[in-house]
Amino acid sequence: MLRKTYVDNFRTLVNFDLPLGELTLLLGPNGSGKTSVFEAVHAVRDFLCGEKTANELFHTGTLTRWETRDTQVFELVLAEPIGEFIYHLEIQHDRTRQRCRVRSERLTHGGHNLFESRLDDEQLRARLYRDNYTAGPELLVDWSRSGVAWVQPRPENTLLTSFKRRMERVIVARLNPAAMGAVADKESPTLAWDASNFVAWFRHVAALDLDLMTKLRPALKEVVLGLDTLSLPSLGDNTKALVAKFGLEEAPGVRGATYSCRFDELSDGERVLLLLYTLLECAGSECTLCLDEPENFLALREIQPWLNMVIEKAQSQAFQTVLISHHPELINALAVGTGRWLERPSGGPTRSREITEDDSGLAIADLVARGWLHE
Amino acid sequence: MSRRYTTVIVRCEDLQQRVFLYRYLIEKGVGRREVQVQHSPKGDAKHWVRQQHVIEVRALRKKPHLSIALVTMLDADNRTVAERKEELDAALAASGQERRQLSERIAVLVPRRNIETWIHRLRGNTVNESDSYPRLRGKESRCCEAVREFAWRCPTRMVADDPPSLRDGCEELTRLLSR
Repeated sequence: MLRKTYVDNFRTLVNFDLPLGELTLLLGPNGSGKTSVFEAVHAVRDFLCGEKTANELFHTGTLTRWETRDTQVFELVLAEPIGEFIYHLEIQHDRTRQRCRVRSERLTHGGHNLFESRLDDEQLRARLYRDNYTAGPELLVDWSRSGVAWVQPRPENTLLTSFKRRMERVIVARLNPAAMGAVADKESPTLAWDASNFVAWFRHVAALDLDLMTKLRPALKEVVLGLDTLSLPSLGDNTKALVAKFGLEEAPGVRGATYSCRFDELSDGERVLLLLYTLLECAGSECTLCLDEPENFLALREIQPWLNMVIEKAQSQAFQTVLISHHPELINALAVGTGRWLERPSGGPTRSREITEDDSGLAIADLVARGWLHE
Repeated sequence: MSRRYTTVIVRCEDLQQRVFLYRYLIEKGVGRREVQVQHSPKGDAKHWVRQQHVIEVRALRKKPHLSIALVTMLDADNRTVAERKEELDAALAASGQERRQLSERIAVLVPRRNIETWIHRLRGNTVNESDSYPRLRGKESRCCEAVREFAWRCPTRMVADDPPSLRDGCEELTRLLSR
């Protein structure tokens, strides 16, 4: 699991450390930097998966506005059964040209190097290390992309490969149901930041797990009224649509019937419910799920059943969950023990601290609402 | 479970009790959406549980037409099971309500010394009700195997070595769920 993240000079995060547990709730005022933490993790994850360039992920606009330093630093500590990985990335910016490049990149395992690159004389020189930590050859790599992502899996670098595979299982999302269409012309192994490619991602996970629809059915039948099955009918040219089939039960004054709706014809809340339960079902173990205000579109009745599943899964199946929420139900359930309070004293950089029990007799959500937490 | 409740309200002290009771009810066939569980969101957990017990018992009695059940749990700590149950009855009396009757759809569970005692026992260890056992803080769901054991053993496989509070808890839950 992600045990710690360190970010420097990225949005409001300056020399910012955040310890993470199997289940972590981030809370704090608006503008305190909660979402920036997710953006940083998401950017590093995409960088490591080789999907985007440094300029696309760490553009100059992400530098902390009041800082004059041109280097951003990101560090992730990943504690896995096979040992602890530390990934350290430095991005160097050229504010005038609005460009950035890798200044250095290092991956260690148990304190030993697996990969190291450093900008030297306007060239990014990298060295790959074998699983037994002996040094491999030095080579020049592209400074606009992650060198770790570029390394091809080989029998002598299984540790580095397993780190990359684990990072692929970090899902960071701020759900926007309005952006989720019903049609996808390809599969996507990655869920987009706003989950707009949900159907493409769903196609991918459904192809990996042929029983997925069957596994999802009981939970979804309970939460989406009348839902019977989900299907992915072909529209030709490898394009598929996600379709929900409903069954209307016969009742006094109601004639029994079945009907189908495309995914984008469902309500915002129904789309989010489908996504949240799919994430829980198929994310599997050794996965990190970071969700920004997942309860936003849910009816009050739907929050607790999902939350109970998250609590259970987070702690029992090596399934890590990091949530951002302002909802009293989540705050009262999770703040003490798993909560981190983020704030920006005097409007400066984001700071975080553990949420401790309070002897005022007020619920944590009440303390937050009154601005009395830690007062 | 012969009778299906539309809602099982659970009020308890902390996340460990919450996870324990939620998992137990699911193991016994209660639907995930039928469990409405809350643990104390503030410092004095026992006071909160007593307050909630009073509120929920009143709601349950005001709505006899609904299939609602209530499970209240609080640790005995350095008191006895009977004393903790008496505290809840006294709280009901203080609010002008009758004491809980065993015929009502209300279960009161009092782990003694606390929930960790039950978990430690259900993991196959010998326990007494006065010592403290390790907490699973931050890893509360690791009790799931112990809960499954409880669900399997309760009510027909409980043994004399089980702490009295665990056997009492089993009786309370069995009475509620077999109604």
